[in-house]
Amino acid sequence: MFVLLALVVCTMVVPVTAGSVSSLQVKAAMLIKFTDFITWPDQAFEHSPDTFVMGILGDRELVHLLQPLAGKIIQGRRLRIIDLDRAGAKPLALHILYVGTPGIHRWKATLGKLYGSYLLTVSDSDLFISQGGIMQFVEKSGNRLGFAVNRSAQIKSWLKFSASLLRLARMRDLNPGEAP
Amino acid sequence: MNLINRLIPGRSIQAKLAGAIIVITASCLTFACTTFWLNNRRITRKNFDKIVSGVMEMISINSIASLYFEDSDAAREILLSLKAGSDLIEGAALYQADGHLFATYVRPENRSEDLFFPGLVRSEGKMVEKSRAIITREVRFKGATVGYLLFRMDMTGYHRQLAWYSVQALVIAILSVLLGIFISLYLKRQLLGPVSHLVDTVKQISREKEFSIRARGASNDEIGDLINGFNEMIGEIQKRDHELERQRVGLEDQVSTRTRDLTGANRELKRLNLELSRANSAKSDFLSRMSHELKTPLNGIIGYTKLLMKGDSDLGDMETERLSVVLQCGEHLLLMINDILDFSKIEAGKFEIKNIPFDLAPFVRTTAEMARSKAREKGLPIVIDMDQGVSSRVTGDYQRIRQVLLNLLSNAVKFTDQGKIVLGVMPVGNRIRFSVTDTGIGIPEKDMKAIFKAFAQVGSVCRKSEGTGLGLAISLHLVGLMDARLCVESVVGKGSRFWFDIVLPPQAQAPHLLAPDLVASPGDLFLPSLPTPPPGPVMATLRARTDMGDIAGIRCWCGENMENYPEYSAFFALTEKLAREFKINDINRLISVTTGTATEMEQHENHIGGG
Repeated sequence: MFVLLALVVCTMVVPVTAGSVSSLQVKAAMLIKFTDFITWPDQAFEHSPDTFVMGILGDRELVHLLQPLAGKIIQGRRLRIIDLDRAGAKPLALHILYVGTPGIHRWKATLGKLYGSYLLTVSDSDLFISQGGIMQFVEKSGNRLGFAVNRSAQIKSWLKFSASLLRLARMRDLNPGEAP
Repeated sequence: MNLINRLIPGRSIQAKLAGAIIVITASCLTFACTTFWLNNRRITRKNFDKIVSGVMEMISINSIASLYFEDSDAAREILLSLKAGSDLIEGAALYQADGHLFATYVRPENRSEDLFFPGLVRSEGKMVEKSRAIITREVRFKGATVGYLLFRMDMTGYHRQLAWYSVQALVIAILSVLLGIFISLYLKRQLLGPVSHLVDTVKQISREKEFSIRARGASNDEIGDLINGFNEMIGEIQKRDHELERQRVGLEDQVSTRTRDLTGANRELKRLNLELSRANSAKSDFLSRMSHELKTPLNGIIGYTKLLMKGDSDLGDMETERLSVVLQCGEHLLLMINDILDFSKIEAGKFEIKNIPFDLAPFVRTTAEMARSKAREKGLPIVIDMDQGVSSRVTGDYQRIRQVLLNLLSNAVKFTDQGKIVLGVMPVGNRIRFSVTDTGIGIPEKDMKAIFKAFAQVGSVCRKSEGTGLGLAISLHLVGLMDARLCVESVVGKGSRFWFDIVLPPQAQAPHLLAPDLVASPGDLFLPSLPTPPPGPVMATLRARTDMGDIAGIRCWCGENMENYPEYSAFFALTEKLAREFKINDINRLISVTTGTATEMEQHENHIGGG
């Protein structure tokens, strides 16, 4: 109940120009840009000090889009992209978990295979925040893409969001009844 | 103070003080206000820059994310926060990193105006117009430019504020200067009022010459002291004025009394003076007359005594000796009378010094010879010591020189018993020194002055005194008339030396054939064509009569024989003329020059000289 009460959702709108840039490309760019405004605690890199790992669940297209960016320096570490649909049962240390709409029912199960809890969870599913996810892409009028933030989930995750990022996210009070 | 004098020439000290205060106040205030104004301007400008750059910094930081995530709504919201800020910012705009306009903001009151934002901005910059300023700066994130922020400023308010500061400064300056003038006027009245009163008082006193006026109103400061001091001074002047007036009146009385006394005394003095000069001239007259009168019979006595003693009368030794005493006494008396005559002439100022050409060597020889007759009696030689360098042909009053020398020589003979007497002549500078040195008894120091006084004879008690005691007094005067001094040095028991240095200019022309005396008496005796009468009984008779001093007889004799001896007529005429003027010496000399030899002449002079 407390969790529901504390749930604060912020959304942000980013224009998505159809034609030149696809909605998926914008999502991929925003996933990378988020890392400039979010700080992971040092404990998050205990298992893999030199890599910044991003896992994609249920969206193969996005994996293809992001794969060329592997090796890019993020938070001082090399970026590694993992397609969780193809990964084995081996436990993983992730820093970002993106859940595509097709994988929305499996993401909680996937969490059990992960080390640590310093994880940013992002999805484009409308249900994601109500299921305890931290960030969720929101489609807005005029083909613009925004995002919402679950403040209580974010606080629990020990990740530090910059005020600027939070200001961009539009504030939205979620009805407790919407919670799962 | 010079500056003030130049700025306010010829004004009172009041005006100068007021001027000085105004100048000082104005300059201080101008300085203070200018400083204040400049400082305010500087601070305003600085504050403006600070505020603008602070606001821009804040907006930049806040708009990073919106630019990064290209959220123009959020960017607009951020710019909207400027609404609460200064109205200086009339508009703002955010541009993306590629320079395209991203979001704008216009202050509500300016909405109606058509505010222009450039469509493309790709660099930082600042553009200031008169009333507008446009400032652009980069928005950076993690070392990269994510966009640009542009501010559009309305500068009118800023300028208005600056103008307001200027007005403030000006108003303060004007008010302060007015206050300065007011204070200076007040101070002028307070400080210089007493001074102007003092000046007025001084003017009044100097105008009216009324010293009873006093300056009033003395305070306890320096001006008060000045006024008090002035009053005291005027009081003192008034007192002195009274005193002076009193003394002046007294003095006038005194002067008139004294003048009266003095006039009386003066009159008395004049009367006495007149009497005295009358008495003196009477005395001189008496003396000269008496001497002349005495000389005539005396010459008779001497002449006839000589005639008696001249061989052809039968006189016994007894008679001859007695006659010689008579002759000696007569000659002595004649000497004294001559001295007295000279002295009276000197006193009457009738003595004149002549300039006659003569030969020095024969003159000295003759003079010594004339003194020798007396010296021979005592067995004393008279030695001539004449320097070779002495010019022989000179001009001067040789008779007077001789008179002095004979006097000195006779004195030397008188006071010397053994040894010798030296008559010295030597050049001293442009003068000739005559000296007489003896080896006599000398003169004591205490008597040195007394010997030159008239009628004084030193040591006469033990001497067979001869003479009047006028000899040295006359000599002293004669030497003085010849512009010289008669000097003496003496050692008691060893001898004395008398000398004088006189100027004897060399002769301008060859000496005349005639004797100096004859030349020197122009008009009287100058007879160049005088025929030389043959020596003979006629001249012997004339000489005998001359020796007797029988002037009357000479005249008579000349008149009688002029016809008997026509060849002598000119000679007799001259002799008679001389006799008429009672010049027995000149007649003697005339005879010597025309008939006799030099020896004869010297013998004759020996006869009449001395003293």
